[in-house]
Amino acid sequence: MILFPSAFAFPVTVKDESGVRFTALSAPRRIISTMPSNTEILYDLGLGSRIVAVSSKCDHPPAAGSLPKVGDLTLNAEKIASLNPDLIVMLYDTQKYQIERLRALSLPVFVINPRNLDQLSESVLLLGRVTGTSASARSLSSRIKRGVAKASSAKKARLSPKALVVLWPSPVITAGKNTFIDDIVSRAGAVNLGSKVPGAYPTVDFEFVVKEDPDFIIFAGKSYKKMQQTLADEKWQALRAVREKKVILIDSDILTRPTPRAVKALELISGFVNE
Amino acid sequence: MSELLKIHGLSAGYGQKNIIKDICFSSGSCGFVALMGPNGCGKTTLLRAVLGLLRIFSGNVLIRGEDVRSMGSKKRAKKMSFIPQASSPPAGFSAEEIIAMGRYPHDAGHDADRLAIENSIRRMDLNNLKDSDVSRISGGEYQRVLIARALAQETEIMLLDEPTAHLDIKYRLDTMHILKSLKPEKLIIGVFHDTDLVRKYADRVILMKSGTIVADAPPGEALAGNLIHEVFGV
Amino acid sequence: MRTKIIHVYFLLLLLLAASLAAGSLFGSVAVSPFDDSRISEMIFWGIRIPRVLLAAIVGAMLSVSGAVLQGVLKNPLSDPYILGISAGGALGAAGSIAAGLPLFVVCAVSFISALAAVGMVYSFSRTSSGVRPEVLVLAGVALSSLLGAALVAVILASDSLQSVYFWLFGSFSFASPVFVKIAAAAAAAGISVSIFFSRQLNILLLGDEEAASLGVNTSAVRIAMLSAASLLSAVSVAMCGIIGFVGLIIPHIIRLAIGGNNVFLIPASGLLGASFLVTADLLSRTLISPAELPVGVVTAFIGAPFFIYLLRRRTDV
Repeated sequence: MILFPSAFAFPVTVKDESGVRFTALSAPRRIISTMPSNTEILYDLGLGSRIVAVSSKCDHPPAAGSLPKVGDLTLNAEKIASLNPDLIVMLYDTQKYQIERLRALSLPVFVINPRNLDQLSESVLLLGRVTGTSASARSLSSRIKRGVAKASSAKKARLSPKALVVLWPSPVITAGKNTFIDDIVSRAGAVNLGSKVPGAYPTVDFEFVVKEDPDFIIFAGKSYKKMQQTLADEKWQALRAVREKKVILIDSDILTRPTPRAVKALELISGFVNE
Repeated sequence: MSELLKIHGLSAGYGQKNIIKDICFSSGSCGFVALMGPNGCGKTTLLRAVLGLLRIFSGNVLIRGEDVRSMGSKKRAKKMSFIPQASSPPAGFSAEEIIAMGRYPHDAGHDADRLAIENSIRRMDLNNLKDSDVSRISGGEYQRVLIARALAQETEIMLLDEPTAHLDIKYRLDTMHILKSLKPEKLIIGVFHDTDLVRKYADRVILMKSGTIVADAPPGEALAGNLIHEVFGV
Repeated sequence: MRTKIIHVYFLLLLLLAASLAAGSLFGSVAVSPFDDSRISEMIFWGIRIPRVLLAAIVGAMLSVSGAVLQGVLKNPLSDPYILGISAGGALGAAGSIAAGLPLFVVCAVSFISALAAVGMVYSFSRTSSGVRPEVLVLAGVALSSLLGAALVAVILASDSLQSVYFWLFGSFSFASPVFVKIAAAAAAAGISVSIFFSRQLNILLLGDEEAASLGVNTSAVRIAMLSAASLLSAVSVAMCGIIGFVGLIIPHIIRLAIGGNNVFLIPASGLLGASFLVTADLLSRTLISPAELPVGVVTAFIGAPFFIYLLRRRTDV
């Protein structure tokens, strides 16, 4: 039983994060992942060889890029059905209607919805159970927890610095309360200025930025050059954080996706705001 | 000869405004009555009130003793037909289709409808125009279509609002001639401005001024000089 | 003329049969009703057929709605999209979906808000001499913009950008047997009312006074027809988002062939609209397969140039 846990793990009934009970009669071998973040988790669990299709936005790891695609925002139900999947992993917050739609066609949908790093560990364990990779899931989950604990302990016990996350520079779009990003920033020991504004991804005017006077600015993006271009503008130059060079660029993929790579983002930000 | 149309003490208008006051009129079942008067005297209002298109404040309009207000719109349409002034023809309909609309009030069946439609086409000499799109024919031709429609409607009373206003001489005379030929069968009441035509074709003139009837007599009398002078101010 | 109408109807039926066949047999996955496998069956009957049927029914609903509006408002530029009725229906539908109400209630709310939009547009443009076409279109455009903005606000407040995409450009990807049933019921109700009053609608085109003198109850006909048009467009929008141009273009094409007599125009528009939307949906799901174009984009690409052509061709629009 200890040597071959998966063999005895099936059939298994798992309640997914939308409250629906999912029964897998045997370890799923034809998995479809419809969100980039879920694809990353599945690969991390060692399930790469069992994934038969992904969405066209799934780009990490690179191997996923060469798999057949089943659509992006709107999923191609026919394509999905024709692949005869036994597990379709979906994300609740961004795919609510697609989930309903595919469930109405009796397709095997399994929903996770990690809204913060703690929940991410739980979602990973859940996926482990339903795919028969509980061992890998447990170790992945521990890795996440350790990474989070380590980064959180770097918090200096003083007044929390104010951080502004810039998802888009003009107009400034930031991350609000209860988002994954908000969780990362808070655990790093900073106050997420975006949480002062209602909404998940609010657009704020620049006066708000000036008034709040962030200590640190976190740019989510992939292009260093583009960030420099934005910062060169005089209204950005007038900010204290920019003058003091307390600006960091973080790959939006690791900052915005609820995947194990988010721990890396946490480490980077923690190091940045606590130096 | 029983009374076909009797109007008694009729006052009517738009909204709160009383345009015509205390109108009294009665007629048997045939004749050609011309309604005349200066602009704003209420002749069109009177027509509309008789047709049931307006609020009646007091008085009534009776057709063979029955109040028009208590008739449903279809029943009214079986008794009175209306030929309007310059009416803009809807695009995409043939003359025959427009004439066929006159059969709507009757639930008479296909054969009766066909007969009535064909008769009116023949009578108004529209055989060569019946399939033409009415938005492409001349004003005079469309007027004939409208008269044909009123004929197909097979009503005892025909009401006309300046049917010759936008026609040239030839059609004006043709129209009056056709109306005169209908005199023995129908009660025709029309609003006219042309005193020469009225003198020649009508057998009764109702002169109106400021919402009341000033004269109700044969043309020779009603259109005498001093009366015209008084009513029209010429 | 009679024979021409018969020929046109025959052609329309043929076209409908052909597009239904094409829609069912083509798609991003090759399936046919003769395949044995369980998956093919599921795809064909569970996904493909409901979608094709829904597209056909909605196509008929939108075209009839457009034909009716053009008649009642005496304005050839009318259709539920331009007049803001679709936006009104969408606002009601989006709001009730955000509130988590069941589908049937969503359709009912959509109908009521579509009626409200019609009422507003109609009363803005009504004068004592009747409805003025230019004012009507302007009022519709204004209302459409206002309601469209409110719609986006409601969606963003309650949902994601993806939904905006669905509502503003339409999609048949949510087709299911339940949707098909509700759409069929609404279509049956709305289209039969429209056909019932089609003769009176013809007479209404003469003008209120002439119509009344011919025995037509003008306000009853108007209310019935506007309600039917609203029901048809509201239910379409609630299920598939806003799909533009169908209600505008299809009746015009039919008019070019058989004239403006609503007794023939209304059913013919329904038939052609069904074929058109089935084809548009087929294109939307095959052009960039496996991804999907919103069907409203396809109808706009086909409809807008055709509309411009119509404007140039007709001198009496």
